[in-house]
Amino acid sequence: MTMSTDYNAYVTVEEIDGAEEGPLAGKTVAVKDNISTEGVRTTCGSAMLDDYVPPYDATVVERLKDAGATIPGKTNMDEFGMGTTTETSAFGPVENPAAPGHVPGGSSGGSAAVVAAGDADMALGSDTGGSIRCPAAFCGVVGIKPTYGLVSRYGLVAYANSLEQIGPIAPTVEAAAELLEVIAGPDGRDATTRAPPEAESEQPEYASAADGDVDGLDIGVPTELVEGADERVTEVFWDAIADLEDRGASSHEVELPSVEYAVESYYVIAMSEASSNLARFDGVRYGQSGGYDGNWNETFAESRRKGFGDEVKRRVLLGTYALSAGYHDKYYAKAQDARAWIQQDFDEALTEADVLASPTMPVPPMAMGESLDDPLTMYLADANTTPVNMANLPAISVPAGETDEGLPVGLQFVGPAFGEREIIRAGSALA
Amino acid sequence: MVTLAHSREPTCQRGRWVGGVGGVGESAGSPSRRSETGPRVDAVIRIGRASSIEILTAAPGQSRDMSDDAEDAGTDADAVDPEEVRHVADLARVDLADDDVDRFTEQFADILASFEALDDVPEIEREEELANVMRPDERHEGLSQDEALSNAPETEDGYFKGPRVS
Repeated sequence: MTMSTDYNAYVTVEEIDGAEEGPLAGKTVAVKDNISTEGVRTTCGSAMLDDYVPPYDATVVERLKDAGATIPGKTNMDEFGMGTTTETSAFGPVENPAAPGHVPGGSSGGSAAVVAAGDADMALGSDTGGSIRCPAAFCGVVGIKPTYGLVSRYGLVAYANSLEQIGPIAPTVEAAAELLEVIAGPDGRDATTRAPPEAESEQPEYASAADGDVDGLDIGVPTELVEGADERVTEVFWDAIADLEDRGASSHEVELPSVEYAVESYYVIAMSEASSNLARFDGVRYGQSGGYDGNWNETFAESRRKGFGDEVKRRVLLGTYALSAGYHDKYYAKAQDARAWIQQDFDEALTEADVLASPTMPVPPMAMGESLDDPLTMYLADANTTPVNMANLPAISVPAGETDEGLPVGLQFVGPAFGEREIIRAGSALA
Repeated sequence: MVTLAHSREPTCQRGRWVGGVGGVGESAGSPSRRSETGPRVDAVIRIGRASSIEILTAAPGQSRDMSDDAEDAGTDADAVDPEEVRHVADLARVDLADDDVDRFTEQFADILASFEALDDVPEIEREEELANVMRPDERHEGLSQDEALSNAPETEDGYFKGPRVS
């Protein structure tokens, strides 16, 4: 159909029409392939679900249709959202249209790629540990990970419930905010959703905050999230901070000692939740049955061997291990302590600053194929994004510039819970 | 926790197994689903018609009951050997090829070594500000039986069809 097929950004190209009128009428919004679309297959980038056709729409998809959006197709992704490069998809890797030969970031790599290539006006992704912000940064577009509970997860195929949120990807902060307005708000089908505490109506306004006005904005810069980053990235980051200061913002360093444990504790929690959530894929209710006979456990194990890719197996196994008797206290309980500590650190830092800023990713986009064989290195690339999910806070990634080699660099603003307007205002000064 | 509006009566019928209609797109996972370790053959659970599915979060906050694992308790976690990988794969119902086992053993050693850092995390007193959110317990339209079965590889007479037990 379009350029994006060159990048392998869509798993399924099938147009879903929305209402004739509405705030998104005439706009195309691509949807990540782990978000259920009634009658249109939803694969999660997995062979396990390559013919799964949801019998119902996710709440966010209903809201897109009601708002008049046209959905051009379902975007490619790391299998079940498990990856940082969109190379673990059973449907092949996605290439970064903004940096050919490089990964688009993950796991919502297809969504960021179609926006970067101009093949869709906007897109939805999901962010469990950075899966919206990372590809937004790598593809030079805007991505928002909302406060936990702002956007309904009903119809999102679960990976790690306590961490993940659906959010918008768009070329500009204002467009991302418009899309957030459409999908945000309480949903009776997701009991973790709630109205922002200060909102007068259940549908708060976000686009109006994208006024680019950073005069008087107090930016905290967590040293721990800048020190370890690649120099090519930090150069662009500090230039962007200087630019904001020229426009009336001020910045100062803040300390977040707990984030040193963020990646490890994040992966323990995410893998543990994954091992439970993915237990449903047994080849009986859905998935690949293979028609095997005999011992049930062996039959399920055979189906799961064929249906799951390596990264999914790794996380399911490690999650099973972390929750098993004897190791639960050592891994899962400690990870929950780390999570509470991270939350306290962020709360404290945000009493001393309006927003926190860091590079979204500590490295520029990797070359394709570079990181697949080394899972631990890939996990460590999530150092700056995972703490935000652990703290349940909102964050935005905006393009901050490019490295000397022309690779996109993203800047992340983190705000207080339900402080989406703060990070949208800050981000709109840059994109 | 996935709650089905209609009770699921366990009935027995030879050679088939039926789980709940817990949807693939649900935002919930229940660790208890995994506890089917025993020889639970020949069980069939009937699916209620028009089951309405109410979704709540369920973080896997409790340890699974894996009695066959108890003897591992408290042992040194530094050592990951191929047998341990096979054991976990068995618990997780994932069949692994021999070369997968070798590769995973090596990778898990690195990953678990990095998780050792969590030993230094202090115990944190949590300040949870959680409130119960209640709603009226009303019946809503849900998936039809046909819809609930529509993605099953095999069905028979309105049931999910599981592997034949030899």
